Amino acid sequence: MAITTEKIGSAVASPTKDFFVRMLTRDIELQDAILDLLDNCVDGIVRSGSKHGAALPYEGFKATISIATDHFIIEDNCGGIPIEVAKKYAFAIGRPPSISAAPSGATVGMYGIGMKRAIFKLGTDALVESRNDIGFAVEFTPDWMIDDKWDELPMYGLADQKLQERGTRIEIYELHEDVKLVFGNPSWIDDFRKTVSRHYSLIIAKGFSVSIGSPDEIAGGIPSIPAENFKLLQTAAGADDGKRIEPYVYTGKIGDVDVEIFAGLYRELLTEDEAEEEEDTRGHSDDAGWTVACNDRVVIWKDRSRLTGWGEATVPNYHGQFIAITGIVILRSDDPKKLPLTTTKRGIDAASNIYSEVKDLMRDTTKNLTSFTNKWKKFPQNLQDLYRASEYVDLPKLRAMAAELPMTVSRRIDGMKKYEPKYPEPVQEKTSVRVSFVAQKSDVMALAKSLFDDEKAKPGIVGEAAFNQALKAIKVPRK
Amino acid sequence: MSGASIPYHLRPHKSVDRRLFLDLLARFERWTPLTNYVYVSMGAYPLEDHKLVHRNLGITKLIAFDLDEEIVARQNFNKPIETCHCFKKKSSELISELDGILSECSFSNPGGLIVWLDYTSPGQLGHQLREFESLLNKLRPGDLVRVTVNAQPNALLEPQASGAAPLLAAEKRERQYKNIKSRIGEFLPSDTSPDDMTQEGLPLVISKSFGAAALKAFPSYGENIYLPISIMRYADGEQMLSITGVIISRGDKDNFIEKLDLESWPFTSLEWSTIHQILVPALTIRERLFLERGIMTKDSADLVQELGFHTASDIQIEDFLESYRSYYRFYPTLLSAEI
Repeated sequence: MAITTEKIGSAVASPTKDFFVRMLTRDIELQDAILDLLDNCVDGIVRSGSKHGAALPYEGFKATISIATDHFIIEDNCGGIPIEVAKKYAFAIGRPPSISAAPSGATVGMYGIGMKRAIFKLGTDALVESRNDIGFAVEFTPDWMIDDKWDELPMYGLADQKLQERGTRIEIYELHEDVKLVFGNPSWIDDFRKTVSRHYSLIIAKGFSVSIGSPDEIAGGIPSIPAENFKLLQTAAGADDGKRIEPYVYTGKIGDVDVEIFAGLYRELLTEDEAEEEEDTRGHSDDAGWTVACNDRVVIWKDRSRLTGWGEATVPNYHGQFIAITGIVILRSDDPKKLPLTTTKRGIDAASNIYSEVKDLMRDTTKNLTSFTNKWKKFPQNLQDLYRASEYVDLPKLRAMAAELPMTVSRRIDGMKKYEPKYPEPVQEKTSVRVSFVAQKSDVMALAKSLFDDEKAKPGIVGEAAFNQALKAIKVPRK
Repeated sequence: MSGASIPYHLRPHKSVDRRLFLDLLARFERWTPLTNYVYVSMGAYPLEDHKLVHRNLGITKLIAFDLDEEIVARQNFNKPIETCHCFKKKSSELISELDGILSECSFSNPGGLIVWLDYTSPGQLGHQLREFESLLNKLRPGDLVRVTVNAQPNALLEPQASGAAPLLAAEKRERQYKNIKSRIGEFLPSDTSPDDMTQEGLPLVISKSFGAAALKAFPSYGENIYLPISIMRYADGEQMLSITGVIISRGDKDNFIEKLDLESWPFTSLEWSTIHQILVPALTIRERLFLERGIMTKDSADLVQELGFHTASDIQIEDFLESYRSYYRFYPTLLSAEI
């Protein structure tokens, strides 16, 4: 299309900074914004070439986050930003296409907005210092923040004694009012620690260390955050049929993405009483649900919704009876664009092809495990037999096991191998039937008094005893 | 329900705890009058606290509840005034039906609410935290909420089979930690470890967990907060933890603390980690009167020397005197009487 008339002026079409900053920060929660800064630390390690496959590839690397009502500081020793990267795009919003196409290694940063978005989310005055090859400092000032021009930010040299370990330090001042409120609340800070122990569980387990606290706590050497571990129950093989509780395992490659799935039970099934209570209100802290990690960063934590296949196809909706079911999906790729990551790294791009393939496998597993708990629901008194010699298997052990299990290939997805164990079934399922009925409380109490001399005996027990007595009466021939 | 069957007058620690609660309520009146408030609590069969708030503060809108029909019948017999309504409800039902219950009692437009959830069952801590959270979600600024929960580390253990060898302390703490984690994992402070499963450590862990639950009800950036005012632990047998706090607009917080002069009240806890211990040995009347006269002027060592003995009811007198100095006015003197 070409206009042939004379140009008479120009119309402003660039975004105002205020609009841009508000849009960028609107849909991200504060915790996720800070996690973006942590992601940058870890990506720094990956880029500087830590070895994938080593037991503790991130050992020795650490990030410290100091939180106060008037400032925020994050400092790491994870390699820092090379000066050329800083000049060209570390402070730009988004990545130029030429950079974006280059391989980055198994990182989670891919959009080039994390650091800027986090700074905008927290406050209006920030200082970024970093040393990889040549140390530098860049400041975002309150004036720059309100000014509508997108001027380039001046870079300054970094004093020699600063960041000698090679790393990055970001200080943010002039915090927004809502951020000040949140940072003044120790319960919020502790809640954030828990978020980190979940979303960084795989990364911390690989040796990365994160400390979060008030300036006093940091100065006092607050311990680093422990990882929230993933583990599954495994029992000894049954005497007759060899069936037992053990993990479901899938490993392989879908396209350019390495996929590992481990699922099973993380705790014993609910007993009859517990199940009844759970129907009423949630009383157990529950670790049920699916966890999904992309390049080690957990993006979904213990989800029990349609997002992870619950209540889809033939899988029932999640409820208390399924409290023991859990699974983890680990996706890895040297090209993060292939992963179903979202920009906030909380949740997943559910429309992605790779995730929909993976979700089919997750659903199959969930379905099998829910059928298992359904079968046993009828025979809770025999549950104890199930847990003979049970032990927990953690993630490193699960991965080691995968190499030795008699895996079969998946017919549907090329390159995926699977191990789908058969779980024990209640022997009585064929010969027994569950009896349940409703009776007057006063009648049950009267019966309990007569049978057990205890009015408070449990109704189930009273019913069973009365049934057995009646049975005995018809079996014993009368004189 | 441990302890529920022990008559109230044999639980001196609970009695002091309740008296201190009343003292706090009296202070609360410096903020706003309580006469038009509704008082809600389980109350058990004697409705002791209902009688106290009625007599001391003039509160007439009273609600009691229990899940046992017989106890509710007994409450109905024992209630101090006709405007005390007794319901057969579980605490979870009371909370979810709260608005309906208030209008059923014609208390629809009270000055505020005082709710005391006096829990006993240690196995239900998860439910208790969640109920606390959902209660806070139903309240508004000016309302007071008090919860009492079991904080005895041993209550976190399954009963051992008789004849089994006793557990090593480390094993025991490991199991206690596992159990509390499975019950209230998402509320537990991030740095909790088996080492916290002690008489001093557990109340702190539980208190902070309630802090986490309060945060879920009132997010940090919201207009209102749940401000803890007083957190205490005491043991008539099993150790209990009671937490009293107020829902208040964030902007009123400093003014509130100043008006109630909380800085000078000895049992103030404005942080979830500040927990006061109440120690109440059974004293004879002669001992009590002796201590009461000297407590404000003499130091503890002198008093102990003059007494001539160091312990009473297995409690070190010197430890006790430290807290007694703050609450001696509320020390219960119980006399046996024939009527």
